[in-house]
Amino acid sequence: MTDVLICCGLGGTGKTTTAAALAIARAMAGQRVVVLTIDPARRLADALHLPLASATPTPVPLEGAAGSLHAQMLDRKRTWDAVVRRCAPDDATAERLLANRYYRAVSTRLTGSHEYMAIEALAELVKSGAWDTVILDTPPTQHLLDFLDAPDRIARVFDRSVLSALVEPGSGLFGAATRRAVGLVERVAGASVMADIQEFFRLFGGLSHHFREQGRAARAVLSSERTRYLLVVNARAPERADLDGFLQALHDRDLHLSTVIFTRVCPEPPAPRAGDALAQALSGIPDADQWVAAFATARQQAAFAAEGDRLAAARVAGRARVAFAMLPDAPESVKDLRGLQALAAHLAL
Amino acid sequence: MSTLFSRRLVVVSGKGGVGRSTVTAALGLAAARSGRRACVVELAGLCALPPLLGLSGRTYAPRTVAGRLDVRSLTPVESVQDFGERKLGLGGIVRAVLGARVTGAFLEAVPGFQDLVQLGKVENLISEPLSSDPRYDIVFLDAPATGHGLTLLASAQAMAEMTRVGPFHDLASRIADFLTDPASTTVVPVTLPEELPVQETLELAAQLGDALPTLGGVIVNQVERPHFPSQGWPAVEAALTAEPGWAPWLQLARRARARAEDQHTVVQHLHHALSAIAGEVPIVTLPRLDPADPRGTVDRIASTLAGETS
Repeated sequence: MTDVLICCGLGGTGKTTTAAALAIARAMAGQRVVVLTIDPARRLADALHLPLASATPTPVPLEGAAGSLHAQMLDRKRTWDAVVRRCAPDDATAERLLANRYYRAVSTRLTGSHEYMAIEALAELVKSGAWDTVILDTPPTQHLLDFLDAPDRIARVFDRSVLSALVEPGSGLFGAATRRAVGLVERVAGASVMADIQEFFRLFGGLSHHFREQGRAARAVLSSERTRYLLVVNARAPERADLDGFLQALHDRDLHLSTVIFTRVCPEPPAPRAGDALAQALSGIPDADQWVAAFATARQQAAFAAEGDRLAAARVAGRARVAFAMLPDAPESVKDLRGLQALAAHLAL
Repeated sequence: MSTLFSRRLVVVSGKGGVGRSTVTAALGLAAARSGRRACVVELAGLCALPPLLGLSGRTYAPRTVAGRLDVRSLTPVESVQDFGERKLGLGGIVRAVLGARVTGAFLEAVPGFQDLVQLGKVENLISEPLSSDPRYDIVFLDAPATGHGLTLLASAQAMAEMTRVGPFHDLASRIADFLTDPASTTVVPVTLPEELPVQETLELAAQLGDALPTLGGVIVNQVERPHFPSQGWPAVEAALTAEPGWAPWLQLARRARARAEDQHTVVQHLHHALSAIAGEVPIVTLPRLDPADPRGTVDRIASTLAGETS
């Protein structure tokens, strides 16, 4: 059985670092671990010093580990093409699909194709049975919601009745609505686009069975009892507008948050001292006034930082009754494996 | 960034958590205070901007704050309806068709279409406002996280290439032309004074310019500036070690000095690397402010940005 840990959170929270640290912690403890990222910025590669192109699990050397660590960067284009080749009923269909202009645009350039492929990759890793733990580093929250929706969206897009209706509008009310929709698209986009799109869906019809199966497998993975959702929160990031949206989105799908990991946690500033105590302590030192002012500013900044931590904690604690983990603020730690290993010590998850 | 407010569209990009919405709201406020009719726009049904400007909930229709600043939160569906009504005169039909299952599936199957109609709405606001719409001097777009935001901007070009002819091609080309015209549009990434966010900003800068808008400036947010004197730390350390009770303050100072130095190094790296990639690009740093007071933060950043853009 494979554990799946899905690391969610806004960008810039240290989510990628946390995913890497979690992976290291489990690999050190003896598990076979793979960490998967679908982030186009490929930050995980930087943190793990991996070559950028690793569309299959690539080993990460980890000194003294009882288990093993692999990392995989999702490559949209290559994965799509591989799926088409694997699932097309024959080579001719595959080649025509790969050459279709609409397919090329959708599979490489336009927003949204990432999630389809992430589902594919995650389900494949789980299905292989080769891993004790699969850790997913998701893109920022707005993307994460797309990701959770992807299985259902795949099912809808490749819904046979809708597909056949789009390609060959029939009679009746539904057919009439479809013809109007197709007419609208032709009017807006031009007839040649509609022809490309219809060919795309006609060819893809042969693959729809595969996508329905993938959708089912992916839904099973996302809602499995062995799948845990971790939320990574930069305790000091002031912009939390979609935190509530994220918790709500999980709740709506009957998925449950397992742990909140606070990153870059700040210490409380020292308690204030009486009026001019600092000025007295520093009397006689050159530029004493400037030092006193700088201490005051530093204390103010530390207070803002600590206040941000408290606000975030109160907010999350108020919304979800879950375990917490705190990762200390250590800006220099994310640069290499050693630093990541030190962070991993805080994550006995 | 003295020429920033002479643009028609400023795309404020950056990952979640860097304060992108705060900066977007503050830029809008600064432009409005300078006498311009301004608008701030967010996409995809998000609701980050309204609370920063004292409004509750999101609306597609504009709401005006501070006399001259409109706030709009777009969604793909409302933008498609709007597009259909305005460009094709298809009000009732579009609504009926949008309700149909098949069109819902089609909209989802063509993700770039959703991006494009929202960008189209933004471009329309500027280039051909309805008689009922204000004439905006400048629009600020709160663009989604960096990677996604680039895809969003590239989708106009992709769609223009894919469609080749027809009214949709015309729309896509027009948006692509508008986005890549340096006089009309510019991108302002918001980042933090930390290594990885800065690295991503540099990656973004390296990609801009070709089929994408040009770079109008970079904003480094949440910079800590304790302003410790550059000399004399050993004497301060000795004085405070000699007296009881100052240990936490020494720790505070060590930490703050180390952070300030780290941040300074990162910002210097940004300066050097950015000028190598994109030439002279203004970089504005903003201080870390009270997280418990987001509206006060917008107000203060607006004042700072007013100075930088005048």
